[in-house]
Amino acid sequence: MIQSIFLLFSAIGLMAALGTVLSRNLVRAALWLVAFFFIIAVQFVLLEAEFLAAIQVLVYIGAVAILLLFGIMLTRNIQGDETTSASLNTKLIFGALGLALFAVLATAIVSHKGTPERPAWSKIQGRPDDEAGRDGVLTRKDTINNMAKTVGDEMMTRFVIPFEIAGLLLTVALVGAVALARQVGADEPIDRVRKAGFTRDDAPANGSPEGVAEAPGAVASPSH
Amino acid sequence: MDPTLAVLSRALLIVLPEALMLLLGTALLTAGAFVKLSRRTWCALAVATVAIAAATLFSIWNDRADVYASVVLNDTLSRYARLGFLFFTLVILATAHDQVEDSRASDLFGTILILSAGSMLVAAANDLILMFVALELVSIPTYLLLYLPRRDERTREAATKYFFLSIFSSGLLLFGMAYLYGLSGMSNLKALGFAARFVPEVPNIQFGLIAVVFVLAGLAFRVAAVPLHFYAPDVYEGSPAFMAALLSWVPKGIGMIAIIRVLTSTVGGLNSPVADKGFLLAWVIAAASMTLGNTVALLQNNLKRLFAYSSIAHAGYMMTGVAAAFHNTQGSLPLAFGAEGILLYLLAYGLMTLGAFAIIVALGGPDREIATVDDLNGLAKSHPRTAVAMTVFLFSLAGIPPLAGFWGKYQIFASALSSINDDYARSYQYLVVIGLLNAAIGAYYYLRIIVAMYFKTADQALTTKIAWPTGAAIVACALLTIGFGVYPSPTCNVTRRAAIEAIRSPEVTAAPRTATRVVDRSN
Repeated sequence: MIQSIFLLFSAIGLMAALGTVLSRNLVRAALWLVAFFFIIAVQFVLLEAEFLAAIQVLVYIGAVAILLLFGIMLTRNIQGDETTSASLNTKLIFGALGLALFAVLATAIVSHKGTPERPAWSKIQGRPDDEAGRDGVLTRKDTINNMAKTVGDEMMTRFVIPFEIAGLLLTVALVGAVALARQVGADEPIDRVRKAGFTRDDAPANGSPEGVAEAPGAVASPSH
Repeated sequence: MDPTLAVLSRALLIVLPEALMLLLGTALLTAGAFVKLSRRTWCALAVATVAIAAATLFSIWNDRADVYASVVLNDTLSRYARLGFLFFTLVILATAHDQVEDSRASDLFGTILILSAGSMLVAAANDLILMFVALELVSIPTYLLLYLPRRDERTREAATKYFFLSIFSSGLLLFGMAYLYGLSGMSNLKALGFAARFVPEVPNIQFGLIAVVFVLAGLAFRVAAVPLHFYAPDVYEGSPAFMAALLSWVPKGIGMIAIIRVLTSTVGGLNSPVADKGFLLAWVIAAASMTLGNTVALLQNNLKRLFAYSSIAHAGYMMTGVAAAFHNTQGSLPLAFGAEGILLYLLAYGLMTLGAFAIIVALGGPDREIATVDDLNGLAKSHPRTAVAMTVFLFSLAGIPPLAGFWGKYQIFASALSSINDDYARSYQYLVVIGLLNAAIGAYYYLRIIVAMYFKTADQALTTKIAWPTGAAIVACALLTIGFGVYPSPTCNVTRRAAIEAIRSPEVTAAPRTATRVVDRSN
């Protein structure tokens, strides 16, 4: 029963993925992608990873896809046929790359061997049985049944440094984007600004005295 | 105290220098919107931040982490590499101090601080996740720096090209790291090395092969090695000279240290199929990068393109060390470890390439940029002391004794020849022969610049006055290049200790916590 539902959703997911690749309109492609993300969430639920499913919806549909749509709407001509059509050669190359990626992933999954203690992925069915938990050590069952708690605990203890740095990374990207988008005077090349002794409309000449005094061209001494 | 919290508090102490730099760097980034200061003041603030970080680093110098539980390490490699990154940050700041208008100065210097904190984290990282995040903490500020100081068509093209290739390579790297995790179910690098070395038979060894290929490919972009090298000449040429300096050193430094931490120290070893495949891959990359970089550099007249190809060639020499490092094992005592050669080479390369770029930046005036080799004609007449410094850097790049660059090449080739592996002894010898031939080819184009400086006359003599901060950086680099060259033993001792500690998996007295927690769940 579960397996047939799984297969059904996989088929829908595959269609959504094809729709993403084949649709000529970028907005439609993005919407197909949202559908695909949602199917992935469904698959996580079927695999009994509810927490991952929630994260998938929150992060991919809630953030990534919306950002993508905004990006398309703000920057592109949405009807653009040019933007999504590629030459046959390009299509062949990227098709081959996609197949190669699929081959790597499939090989890894199919060739996975289990150990005496831990069966291969393809042999694991359902949730782990009750295990005798040792003192202070979480069992696999505990972890899976309280995944949100486990993930939260780990992020706030063992992985707090990478977690905080990832947050900072986003801040830097955001502040950086603002810094790049900020219009200071005109977008003049620096050479012209330097010739003018580093003065710009927002920085008056008397505001940076050394800019005038040490404008490199003004110094004529032959050696240093 | 809860043992997890004890490990965490220790780890937080170890990353204190980075935390301070990130805090002050972000403060600089935001303060620029509210306070108007001259670019020199912003630069001085950045230098003060680096000094504070260095003082903090010295204060935690002897703190040690529980290697199997902590996400950061404070071993010899981590400490000295972080010190090195701080020093080179100062050099970069001195080079860039006058290269941007006042209104963008705070953004520029704040971003440089964040980037350096990222590179220091790479050196300290002991966890796959932290390693990836730290590498990104270098990449994202780099995109920003490429486009921030100058906005014209060429810079835009360079920034776009770098951006797209960089995210592609990050994807490859993440893919490889996922497989490395799948190999063992552990993200702690020391625990991973322990498992790869002492667990009698690792199941699913094929994951290791996929991991090595993709991680090496992802990092090859950062160190500008073949086959992901082709962006380098265009990007260097299109960006301002101080950015070309930064690009030639920082990504190479972090890429090489990440290779040592993620690959050679974990999956390396004798009689391991993964290490053998890693060796073959590094062999091919090394030979191709050296040959391509050196031969194409012969044809260049544009200085930035020349240094870009030279940077590809130097990545090739360092990959020779990577090939040797794949076969180094804990407990063996070869004449030179691969990682030892790489670290020494990185130090020498940073000094000579940043020094040379600092001269190019400093000589560039408002109406005349130093773009081609011919622009340096007659430099010995107009700037005799600068010409001497440039000669030192170029001789060092060519690997002429007794300068730092010579010892870097010497250690790299010694590590390749002394790798104890009979099956591959012949391959190592061929690689060293290719390397030596390339060093001879490389000498030609470095000497060409020296000839231009001393024996040619300029149509129009250079009259630029070198600003004192850049001058100080040039002098420091030149003195250190000579100093490490004539008295190499202290540096060699440090790099050797760093290499030994990097591949050491300490005895497990109590059960290593990271490892057991994951494994126990499955039992």
